[in-house]
Amino acid sequence: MSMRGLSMSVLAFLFTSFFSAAIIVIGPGDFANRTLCTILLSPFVWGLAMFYCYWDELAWRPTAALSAVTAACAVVVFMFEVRL
Amino acid sequence: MLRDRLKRLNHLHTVIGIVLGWLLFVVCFSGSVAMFYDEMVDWEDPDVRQSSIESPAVPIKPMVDDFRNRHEGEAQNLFMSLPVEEAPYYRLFASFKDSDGNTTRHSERYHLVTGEAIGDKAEGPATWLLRFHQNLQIERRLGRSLVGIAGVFMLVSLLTGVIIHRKILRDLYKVRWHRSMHLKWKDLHTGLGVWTLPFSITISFTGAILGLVVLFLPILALLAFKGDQEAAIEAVTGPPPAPAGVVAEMAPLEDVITRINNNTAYRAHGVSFENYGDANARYKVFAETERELVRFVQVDANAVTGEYDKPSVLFGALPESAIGRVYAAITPLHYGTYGGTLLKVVYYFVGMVVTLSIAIGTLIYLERRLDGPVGKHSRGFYVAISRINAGLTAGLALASIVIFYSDRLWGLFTEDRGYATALVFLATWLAAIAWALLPRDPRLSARQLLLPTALLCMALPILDVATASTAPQTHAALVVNLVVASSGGLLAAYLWVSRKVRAGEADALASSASLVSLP
Repeated sequence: MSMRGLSMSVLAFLFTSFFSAAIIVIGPGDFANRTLCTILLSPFVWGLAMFYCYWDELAWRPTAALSAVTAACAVVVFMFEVRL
Repeated sequence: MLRDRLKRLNHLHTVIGIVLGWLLFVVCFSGSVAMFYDEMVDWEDPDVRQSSIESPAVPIKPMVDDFRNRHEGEAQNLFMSLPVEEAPYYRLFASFKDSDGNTTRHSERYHLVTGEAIGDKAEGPATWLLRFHQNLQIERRLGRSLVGIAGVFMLVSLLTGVIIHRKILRDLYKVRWHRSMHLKWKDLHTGLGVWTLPFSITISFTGAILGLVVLFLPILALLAFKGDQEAAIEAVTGPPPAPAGVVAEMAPLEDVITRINNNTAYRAHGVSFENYGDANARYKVFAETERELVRFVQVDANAVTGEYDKPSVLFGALPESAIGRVYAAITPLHYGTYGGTLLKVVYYFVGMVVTLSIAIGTLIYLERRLDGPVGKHSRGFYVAISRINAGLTAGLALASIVIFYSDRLWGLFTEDRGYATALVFLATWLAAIAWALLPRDPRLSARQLLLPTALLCMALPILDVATASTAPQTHAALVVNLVVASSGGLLAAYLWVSRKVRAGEADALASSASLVSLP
């Protein structure tokens, strides 16, 4: 599988999961609205991440960008407590 | 650079089509059919059809007590659906937790007038098709997640499809009927895709949400709540109301329902019981609405005093906000429940067009590899895939109509009704695939499978009248009969016209060949 294919099928999903969790942990607004907003946006976030994997001219760039943001979100998720 | 980007996006569009084309076809087809779930439930049970439903007059408490006494253990998530035209009986559902901690779900139906238990009819073809759409009839969480993921991929496919077709508006009306098969299909795929684009985006987005909730909730709970899924749900919906621990007499539910039906703009459809028999008991009455973009309107009532609150369009425990309102609109937008029967008919036919567009996309892929310059595998491989494709797509339609016949003709009013439906459905589908695998043109196999499908669809009203002559033709049953018969008619017309066109093409080919052979 190509780098783009791997990023699209695996990394985009990981990115969406950690990005959504990070929004729930430290995002603005009250908790219930934040969670619903995350669920509502998840198909778009995931879809756009997949789309970006094939949009960028250089194959390594989406992989690097998605990995970096996923790592940053993971830090937020594991370092901060959920703001209720 | 732009050329390379379009090539990459075209590759992505194709990859999604190859990997998920059949799954998307199955989900879209079964979803279009399941649009008439309520109506099909009424159609498949002619023995309980009622032409009109009055406000409930039967005391409901004896039914609830009877239901709770029938099953061992503590009743949880007790819910009662009230009689409506599509399901003219009371139906109670609950999970019963026994002393070992095992939970079993039970349901029971009660007569509309007498209030006596009438036995529960196992799930028939309508429920089979709905479940097939919702979770592919596999383990619920896995199935729903797969369908949700398919929705996300469909969104990406739509986005890439719009971008790679550079002259989308110019090609909107273009179908080159007299050119090659490939060009005809390409034009149809583009045209149908563009015309149905707003609908496709709505359906794939809302479907993705409904499926991804099941996938993401445990993941988000794992990440943000260290795996405590109940804490995650409670943080959104608030804690469930605690019982007072004091036994109390319940206000007659039928009176509460009658007052809600008479004094509000809504008609009660179901009731959820909270802490039933306790001083803190609540009736959560769900009312159907065709005027608001929500699945249900909720009216909360004190089960001891019988007083009810102002109706709320935010059912469950959704927050009173714009986001809560958007979330509440997801289900009606997906199932087309906000505009009456006519909207459902529109959803059904547009849904079928989307399904057709997906099928044509797969055909384009195969055609290019069978008769074109592309493709990494042997011709035999693509021929085999074409045959499976013909059996899978045409066979699904055939299996979907056959289960209505088998259910009605065999009178499967038994505990095994769901099993029998599954058996007939899968056997028909597999037989259709086996038929299509026979060594001949897959298009011929598809036509041979679609012809009985069309005939069975057109004959469905006859079956209904012949086998349920004493049952009234309710609005719901009439809708099913008309929609299925007209679908069969359209399919038969297509088969007739395409046969004529193909015969004409063959004649033209033969005459041009004879001209070439002239001295």
